[in-house]
Amino acid sequence: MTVLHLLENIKHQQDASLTFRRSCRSGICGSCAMKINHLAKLACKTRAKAEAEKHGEILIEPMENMPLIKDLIVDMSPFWREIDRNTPWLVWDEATRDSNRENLLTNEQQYISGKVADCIMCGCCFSDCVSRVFDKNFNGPASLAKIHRFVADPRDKEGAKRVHGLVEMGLWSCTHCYFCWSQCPRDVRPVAAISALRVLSMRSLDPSQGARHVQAFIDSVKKTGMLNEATLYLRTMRTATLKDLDLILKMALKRKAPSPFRRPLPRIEEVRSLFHLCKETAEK
Amino acid sequence: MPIILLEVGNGFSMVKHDVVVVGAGLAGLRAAIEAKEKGADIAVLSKLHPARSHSDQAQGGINASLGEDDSWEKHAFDTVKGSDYLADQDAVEFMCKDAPRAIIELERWGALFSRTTTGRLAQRPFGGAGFPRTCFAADKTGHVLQTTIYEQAVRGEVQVYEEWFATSLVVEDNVCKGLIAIDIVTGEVQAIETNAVILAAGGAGQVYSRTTNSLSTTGDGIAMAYNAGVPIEDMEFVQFHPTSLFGSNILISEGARGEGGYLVNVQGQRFMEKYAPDKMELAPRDIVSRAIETEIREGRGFEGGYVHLDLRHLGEAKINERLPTIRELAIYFAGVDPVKEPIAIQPAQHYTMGGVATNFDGAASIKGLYAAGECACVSVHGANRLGGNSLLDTIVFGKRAGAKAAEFAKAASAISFPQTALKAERERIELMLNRKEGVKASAIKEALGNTMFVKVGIFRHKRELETAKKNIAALKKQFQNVCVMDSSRRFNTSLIEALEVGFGLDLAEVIVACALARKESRGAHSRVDYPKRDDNKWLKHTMAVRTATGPRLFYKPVTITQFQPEARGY
Repeated sequence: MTVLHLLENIKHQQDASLTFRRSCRSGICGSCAMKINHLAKLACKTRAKAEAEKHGEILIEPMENMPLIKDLIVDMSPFWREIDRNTPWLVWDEATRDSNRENLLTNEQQYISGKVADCIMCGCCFSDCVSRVFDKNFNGPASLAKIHRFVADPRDKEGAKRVHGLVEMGLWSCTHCYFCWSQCPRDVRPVAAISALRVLSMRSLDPSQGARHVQAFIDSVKKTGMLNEATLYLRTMRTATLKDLDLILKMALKRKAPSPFRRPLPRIEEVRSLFHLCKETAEK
Repeated sequence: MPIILLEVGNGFSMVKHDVVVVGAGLAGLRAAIEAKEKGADIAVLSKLHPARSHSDQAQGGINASLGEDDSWEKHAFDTVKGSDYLADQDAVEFMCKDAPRAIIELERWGALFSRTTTGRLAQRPFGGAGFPRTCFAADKTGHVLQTTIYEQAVRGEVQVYEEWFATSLVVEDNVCKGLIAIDIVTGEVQAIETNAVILAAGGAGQVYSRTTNSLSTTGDGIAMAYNAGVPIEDMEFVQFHPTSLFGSNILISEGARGEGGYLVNVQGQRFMEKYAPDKMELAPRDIVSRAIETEIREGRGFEGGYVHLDLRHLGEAKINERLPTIRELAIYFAGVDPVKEPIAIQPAQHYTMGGVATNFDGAASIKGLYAAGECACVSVHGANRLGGNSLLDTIVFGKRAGAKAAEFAKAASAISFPQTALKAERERIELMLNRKEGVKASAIKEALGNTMFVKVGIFRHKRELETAKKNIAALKKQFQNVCVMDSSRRFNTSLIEALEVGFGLDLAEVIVACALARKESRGAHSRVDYPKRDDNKWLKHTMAVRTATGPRLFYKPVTITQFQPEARGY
């Protein structure tokens, strides 16, 4: 028996006014997302007994980060608005409109896009997204994952260009809490897509603030084995006001930031070899 | 996109468009994209968000003769033979010729089809096909296509009225002038004025207790047409899918057999060798479902009433690559890992071959009304649909209906929408909402589903059909006194469920009437008391029209072009 079965029984036997969405009952349509014992899940894919045994009760609530309409039904328009901010379709080559041959593509080339295309737009990741609670401009896991689906598709005419402008949509707001991975009923792993988009953002010719921040982090640790927060700040922001310089000075005085002329740590080569190893592994 | 309501006096507000599509699955959205491209002011109205549509549930694939040695004629022949010669062959030819174009278009729009090692579209064998011509996206083809087509509809700025439930068509002097719908969120009953309506609201699976269909697949579109006096066609032909999970009836794709799965009875025998020695497990669905049901009835099923679908010999790698959803569904909903154990399966209702009678322009018999997809009966599926042909039907005839409806709407003169229709519908719904006691819709639905599965199922007999007729008449009477049990206006899903049950009762009555009248066995309609196909008397389509005393039946000849009816062996 699933949580959806329970809800249907309550509706049909006890209280007809109990309101929730449902349709396919097999975990594919994405209608019945709701909070079950504090985490967003599909009611049709959640076994009632297991929930009750694990938590001693089955607490059912509407999803978060979206306004409530009634009982377990939320207004999902914030979720869809975020999806719609990003050209959520494959930009195909209209010159080939009348072509009678398909694009040649291997299963391997489609693998990443296919993983994200499993997304059923249920909203579980959006509901449980911690960053979205604090940053209403954050595009959200499903939407960013969908961008990666197109970026990774060789047929898309926009391709890597889609990464521009993502900073304004909060690409760097994700805190890597991994709830979007753990709560996804289709194993889409949005956080992995977000990481991939960040890598692309770093490689782009005009790196964004977030990308510069990460690069400054790497350079500082590679060079001295330590994080120099003063240079980190300057390199991230690119410009500094008098107020910023004041802050940096205070940081130095309080020994929060090492001197820019400080020598590297004694066994710096070990730190650098770690970077080297990471790079090699990633390239593989 | 904001919804524009026009004030028309008397407190009425009205939505107005050239063309309105009911249903946002593959057929509906494909129609909308096409009509929009043709310049029509179009809107889609759906009781669900488009991403929730039942098209999403399709698993196995979509047919097109792309192979070097394949041809549209072979595809057409397989389709006609699969239909037990009841399909209209001109329509079948149109569909099979258009199939390669339609699939390449979806690929260009971004559909992630499974590929061959050379990067072409991969194709798998499917039931009743003489050639591996089923393109697929692992075992989630419907989801991939629905996502793709929804993306392109967003790109085309197709306006969607999400969570609006259409309750009736407004027809006057044989012209469709619009429809009445409930905005589910507010509970407001609204009139929608339009030159053309395209019904694309899917099949009627939920009139059966055992079905692979979504809870939302309740035949609304077919019933609305029927209630408006439009003929509906071949409703006795109901497809039972051979392999649904025992108990929950969640679909296990034909792809599982296409990839080489075996059907095995309690004696460990691959029993299909008795029923279809050549095609074995890949015989058409009507034949495989009857075989499973026969094994169970004759005591060779497992206790409780099921047989085994065995995939173990395919190996874990192939199952993961080609059938990942099947593995997941079996583990999740049946507690069985198909890599290690066979899956317990039983047949369940799966597809409505009948529907709103249309020609292959999608046009129904009244002006301004079109239908496409499972909701329509063109007829390309006749008495039995081949797997992989329903997705094809939706995109080929969806596009066609969209184009034709747009053309019609542009040429149509201004219509006068009868305001009395809205008033009458508002009163009917108010009455249902305010009734303090009566029978619950869910109880009627359960009784109806059981009657239909037991008495109007895989095998049929006059005696049982007569009982079903009586049961349904009694349930219809109860329904006159149906109690919604919730009188609120805002997002009242109990009201929607009650209206859906009302539609189901109307369609069940028609299914039984048509099944009683057809004294032969053809395709999915299997009469124990008339076990032979009878081309002399019954090579014709059943048409049903609503009258005050129930459905009136008449018949329409089958269009035959190049394939003369012959014995159907596999």
